[in-house]
Amino acid sequence: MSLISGGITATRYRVTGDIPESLQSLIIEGIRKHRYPELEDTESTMVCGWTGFSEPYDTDYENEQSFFIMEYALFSLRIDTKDVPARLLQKHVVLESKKRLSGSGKGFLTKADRKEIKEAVFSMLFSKASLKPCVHNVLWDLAKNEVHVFTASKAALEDFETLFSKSFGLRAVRLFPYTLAEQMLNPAENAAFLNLIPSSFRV
Amino acid sequence: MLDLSVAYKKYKFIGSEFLTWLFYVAENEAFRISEDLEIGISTHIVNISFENEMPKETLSIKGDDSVDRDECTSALRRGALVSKIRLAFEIRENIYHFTIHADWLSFSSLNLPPQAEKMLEPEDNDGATLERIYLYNQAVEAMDKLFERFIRIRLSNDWATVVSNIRKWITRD
Repeated sequence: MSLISGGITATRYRVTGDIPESLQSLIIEGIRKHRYPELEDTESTMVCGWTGFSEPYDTDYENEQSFFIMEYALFSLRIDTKDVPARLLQKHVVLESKKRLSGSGKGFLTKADRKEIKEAVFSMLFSKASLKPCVHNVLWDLAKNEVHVFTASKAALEDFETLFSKSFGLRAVRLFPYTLAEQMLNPAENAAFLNLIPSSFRV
Repeated sequence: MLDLSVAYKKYKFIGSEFLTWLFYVAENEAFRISEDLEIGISTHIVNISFENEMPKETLSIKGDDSVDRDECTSALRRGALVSKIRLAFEIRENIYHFTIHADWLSFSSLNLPPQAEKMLEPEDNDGATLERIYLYNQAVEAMDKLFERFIRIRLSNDWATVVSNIRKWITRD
């Protein structure tokens, strides 16, 4: 999903941890260490890493300095996944089972035969499948220590949180009613907030 | 500081109460949060959930259908809260339409004002990107202002009056 065109879907984080003065250098180093690795043949079901903002499919970039505009760092999280669609697997398992039965002269396949066929078919289809790329823009507001990730996908956000922590040694804490209130209120108000209980509008 | 997963579950009701309050405010008050920020219901899409019921029941109202609207207020009378709502902001004459979710208070389908779209064509990509960031930030800041206002009312003695007003609204014919 994208910041640059169409309707925006976003998830917001606060950056916590030991934030250095030279945050820009830390970001460049983290992106360099965990940049998206361009792989053609892979046995992995998922490959992820950081890539550029405006050209996320060009992984040959050399100048991470271009990722910064004013007080923002702009880059992308690229997550490529490889899978075998369930119906395609089902179809090939049926065809292979039929072939195996007619060749064996038996009237049925054992549980072990069926398992073996399914694994062999999956392996064949998986080796032919390509990684499907998915790109999520990331906007890091360096002045406010906030990061916006332009997706609501639970899986993508989990990958983002893990990679963010590995890359920058900082924690991205997701903002939700409690964490938002915590940063808006003073200590006395925060203490009062902790004692809130749900109101009922029931009539 | 509370463990975040505990805090998320324990104070999840705050997000639903906030959206229920926003629904009430947008329907009942010409709501001006400040000189340059006004909110209103946009396309009348409201999702209402009964959080404590299994399976979770969800109702939606769409468009100007008064039957749906009655069903919605009837659900609120029975203890449901708003889980998702589509709203419009007017900020310095710019109109933003978006859906906001109670659990994370995150935006989805946020449509920025049209002049931002015109900026996508020119060669000045950085300028166009900064314009989008500026407009997006305006929406985020406006939502923060609204949430802060709600939280301060929620913590004050005025909250009892607000609850009473919301009850009056949902029992009104």
